[in-house]
Amino acid sequence: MSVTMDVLRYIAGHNAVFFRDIVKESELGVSAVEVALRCLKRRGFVKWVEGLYGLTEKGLEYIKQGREIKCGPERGEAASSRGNTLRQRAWKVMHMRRVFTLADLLVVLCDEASKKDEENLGNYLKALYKAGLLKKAARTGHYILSEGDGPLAPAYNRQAKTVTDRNTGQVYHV
Amino acid sequence: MKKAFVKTENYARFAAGVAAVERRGAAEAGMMLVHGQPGHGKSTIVYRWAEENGAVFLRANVDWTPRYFLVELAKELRLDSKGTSQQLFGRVLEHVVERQVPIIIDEAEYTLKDKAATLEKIRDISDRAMCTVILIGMGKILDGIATFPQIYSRIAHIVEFSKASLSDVTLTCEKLCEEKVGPDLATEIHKLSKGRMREILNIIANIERLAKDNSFTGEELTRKHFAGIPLSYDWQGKGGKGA
Repeated sequence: MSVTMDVLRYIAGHNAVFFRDIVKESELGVSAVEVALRCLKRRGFVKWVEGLYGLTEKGLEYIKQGREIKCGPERGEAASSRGNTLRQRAWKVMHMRRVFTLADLLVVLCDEASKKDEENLGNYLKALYKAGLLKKAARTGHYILSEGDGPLAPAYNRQAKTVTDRNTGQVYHV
Repeated sequence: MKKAFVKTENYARFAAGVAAVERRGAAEAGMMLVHGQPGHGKSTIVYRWAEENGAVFLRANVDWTPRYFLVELAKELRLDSKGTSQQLFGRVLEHVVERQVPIIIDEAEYTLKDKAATLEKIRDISDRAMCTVILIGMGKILDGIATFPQIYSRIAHIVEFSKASLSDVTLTCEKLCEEKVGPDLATEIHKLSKGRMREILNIIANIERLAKDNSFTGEELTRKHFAGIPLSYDWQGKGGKGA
C-alpha cells in the first residue's frame, strides 16, 4: 500500500487532523507525509483549513469507492530499485562474496568510484544492516550477508525509512 | 586510497580466455580453467566478470558431492532443489540450456575428490547445455585435472594468474594512489611486493600514510622520499624493507 493512501485513509478516519498527528500516528516520517499531502492537495482529494487537513468531496468519493490514488511515494519503493543500478549490481557481488566491506564492493563495481557512488552504496549498506539483512563482524566491521536470497536487490526508501525485500514483499522499518 | 577496478594484464588474459572459449569450434569443449597463487587478484577479476555477465557463481566446499553441487546450483538458479538427483539434473539442465548462463566454480580443486565425481557432473552440464563453465583453483589443480583426460579434453582455455608486471604496478599506482608515484618508486614497489597485488595495495596505503605524516603530499614521490623507511613488512622472517 502506498504512503499516499495511508495518509488519505488516516485523514478519512479522523475528520480533521493536524499535520503533526498524521506524522505521529502513521509513523511514516515527516518528508513522506509532506510529499503525500502535497500530492493529495494538488489533485483535490484533501483540503487545508486553519491548520487542519480534511477530505474534500472528491476524496470522500474515492474512499467510498475504494479507489487507489497513484501519486507521491510508494511504500518500500525507490527510484534505485529498478534497472541495473549500482545497488542491484552490488547485491549480486554481496551474494558472491558473502563477507565484504564497502571498499570491496566499490573496487569490483566501479572503474573509478566517485564520492557519490561511495555515499550511495554506503547509505544502502547501512540501511540493509538496520533492516537485519546484513550483519557485522564484531572485530573487523565487515558486513556479512545474512538474510535475503532473491535476485532482486532490496529497495531502500530514505523518505519512508523502509527497506523492502522485492523478492518476498517484506517491508522492514529502519 | 581511491576505489577503482584496475584492468591488469591478468584481467586482459582472463577476458581474452573467456572470449576464446565462447568462440570455440567444438561445442562440448566449453570449460575454462583459471589458476594461480593467492594474492594475484583472481577473486576481484572473477567477481567483476560474473557481475557484468550475469554468471552463476558457486564456491565448492570440501564435502561437495555431485548431488550437493546440483542442489547448490538449483538454489542459485532459484529453482526447486528437491526431488531425486535425476529430476534435479533435468530441471537445472533445462534452465541452463534455455538461458545459456555461464557457470563459475570457485575453489574447484574440491571437485576432484572421489575420482572427480563432482567435476564429472559439472562436465555433464557443460556438455549437454553447451554452456561456458569457468573453474577457478589454486595449487595443483591443473595437474589434478590432467589425470582425467575426459575432463581435460573439455578445457578449451587455461589462464594462469601470474605476478603483476611493472606496467600493472604503474597502472595501479595511477588509479588507486592518492599521491603521484614516480617511475623509480613504482619499480621499487614492484620489487618489494614481488608482483603480489595484495602487497602492492598494502605498500600504496603505507606510502599515502607516510606522505601525509611527512608532508610530502602534492609532490611526485620518488625513492628518495622514503629512503630508509620500511614500505613493506615481510613476515616470513626478513624484517621491514625500505626503499
